[in-house]
This record gives sequence, C-alpha cells and structure tokens, in this order.
Amino acid sequence: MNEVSDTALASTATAIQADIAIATLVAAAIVLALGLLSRRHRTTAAPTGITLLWEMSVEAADRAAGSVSANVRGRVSGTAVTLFWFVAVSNWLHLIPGSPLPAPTSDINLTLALAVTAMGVVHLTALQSRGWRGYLRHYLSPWWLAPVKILEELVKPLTLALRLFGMMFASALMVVLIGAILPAPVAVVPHVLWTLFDVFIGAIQAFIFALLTVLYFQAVLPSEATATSPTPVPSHA
Amino acid sequence: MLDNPNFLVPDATFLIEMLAFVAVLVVMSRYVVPRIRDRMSERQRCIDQALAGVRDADRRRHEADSTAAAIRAEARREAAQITEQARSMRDHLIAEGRRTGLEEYRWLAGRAERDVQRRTELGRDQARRNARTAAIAAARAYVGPAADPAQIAALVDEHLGPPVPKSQAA
Repeated sequence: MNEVSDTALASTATAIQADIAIATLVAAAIVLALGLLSRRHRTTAAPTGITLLWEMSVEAADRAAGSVSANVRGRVSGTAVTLFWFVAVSNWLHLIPGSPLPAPTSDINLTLALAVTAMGVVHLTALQSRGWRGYLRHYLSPWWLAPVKILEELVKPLTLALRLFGMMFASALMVVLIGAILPAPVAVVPHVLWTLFDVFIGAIQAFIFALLTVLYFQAVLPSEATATSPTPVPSHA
Repeated sequence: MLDNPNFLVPDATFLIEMLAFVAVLVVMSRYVVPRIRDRMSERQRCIDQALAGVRDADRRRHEADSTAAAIRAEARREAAQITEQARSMRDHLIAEGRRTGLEEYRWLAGRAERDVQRRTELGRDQARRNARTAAIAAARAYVGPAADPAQIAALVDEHLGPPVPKSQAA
C-alpha cells in the first residue's frame, strides 16, 4: 500500500498540468504584451487606457516603496508592479469570454512559485543591500528571537501562496457549485453576479499580494533614513 | 485541479511557472517599469516646467497689472495736477484780464477826458480868435479906413482879452 502511495506521489511530483502551465504562459505573454505596449507610449501625450493603468500601478508601487532606501526602491516597485499585473491577469484569465483556460492562480503551483520567487527576490535584495553581516544581524538581534524570525520568513511565502490559492480555488469551486446545484436557466444570474465579484476579488488579491511583498521588502531592507549601502542595487531581479 | 487528489502538493508545473514568472519579472523590471517611471518623471518635469511657466506668466501679469495700476494712478495724479494748474491759470488769467481791462479802461477814459478838454480849449480859443477877427473887422468897418489898426486891436483886446497865440492853442 505504501509502495503504491509512494509511486503515486512520485508520479504526482513529476506530472505537469498542461492546462495550468499553458494558462500561466498565456498570462505571462499577456502581461509582457501589455507592459511592452504601455512602454511605447509617447512621453508628452496624456496616458490613456492600459498605459494609464500601468502608470498608476507604477506610481502606487513607488509610493508604497517610498520608505525603503533609494538604491533598491526601483527593484521593490518593479517586483510589486510585475506581481500585481501577473496575479491580476492570472486571476482574470478564466473570465475572458470563450476562454478554455482556467485561472492558473487557482492552482497551488503558480501561487507557490510566485511567493517563493517574490521572497527570493526580497532576501536577495536584502543580502545585496545589507551585506552578509547586516543580513544575519537583522535576524540575530536579539538572538533569542532568531528562531521565531526564521520561522516567520519560512511562513511568509506559504501564507502568500495559500491566501491567493485559497481565494481563487474557492472562486473556481463556487462557479462549479453554482452550475451543479442550480438548474441552468436559474444559474445564469448567480453566475454573472459571481463573475463580477470574481473580477473584484481578482484585483483585490493581486493588490494584496503585491502590497504584502512590498511590506516584506520593507521589513528586511534598511529604511531611507538608515540606509548605509553606497552601491545601488540594479533594479532588475 | 479537482482531479488531483493532492492539490496542495506542488508538482513539476511549479518549475515551469517559476521560470515563466522569473522571465516576466526580469523583462518587466529591466525594460518596462524603469521606462514607464522615466516617462512619468519626464512628464512630471514637463508639467512642472509648464506650471512654472504659468506661474511666471501669472507673476508677470500681476507685475504688469501693478505697473498699469501705478501708471493709471500717476496719470490720474498728473491729470488732477494739470486740471488744478489749468484752473489756477484760468483764475489768474481772468484776474489779470480784469486788471488789465480796468487799467486800459481807466487809461482810455483819462485819455478821452483829456481829449475832450483839449478840444474844448481849442474850440474856445478858436471861437475867441474868430470873435476878435470879427470884432476887428467890425470896428474897421465902423470907424472906416482911417482907423488905426493898432488902436482897433488894442480896443478889441481891451474888451475880449489878449489874442490867444496859435501855437499855444494847438
């Protein structure tokens, strides 16, 4: 019995969910296309449409990252903006009319990948900004709190991933339940209402994910007032 | 997703999705977000410049308004001064005209009075001369040719007074 379970687990670990992977790649392509499209906007012209949304998100991220030292602010806001748009597009992907793709964020793989990557960037930036000694001192002062701090750092990506996954999984589950419980003519109205709510939930979850990442950055990075690193950290991850 | 009994356990899709997100993150952080931020900064700079221009124009308009107000006030003050000078000059001219007219009137009146007096004297002298001549002629006619002109003249002078010299009368 145990051998069967181990084999099943191993096959699960090496399996690739094609629909989720494709949905993720499509979301990545959409985010890249939108980003590159808004990048081409002329400087002097007033921003409109998607360019305006991108600029609003960049401005909001810059404002949220305002307390971290200036040499890493670009990386913090860049990560936050990318996370926001990637999560938002992934959340909304299944809402596109006629889309056969599921929301990739309703699968634990993407949310965990996003959380692990985000926390990886957070700690990499903290290492580059503080140096090894400063980075370790941040966790070892006071020394008796070090286990709690390390546990907290391990839990952060899990909470990030599970929060987003739980919301989007429940959202997908609600759609299935509405279709299963209610007869087709009656289910239209709740389905439409839930879809509208899903749009809202998708944006809120993307915002929360990006905002929490910025807060995690702020927790480990030196603030503007106490920044000592003379070398700026490049903005790309 | 519901087909997977262990849906909380990540599988190999995790790696694909992480790679996809890292790729997006690199492109976004390196090429998109900095460009958007630079563009926003550039636009903000343009807006600040435009606002500075507007503020400068507003400041210059205020200065021009102040200058115009000062010029208007100066013009009003000068106009009041000119009006006052004109009024004063008018009063002075009227007074001067009155004084000159009065003097001229007095001078003319004096001159006319003197002229009347002179003409009266001339007329009286002429009348006296005519009367003397007539008296002498009448005395000659009465006495005849033998009469002495000197005695006749003395007789006439005795009654009519000495003859008035012509130069004195003129």
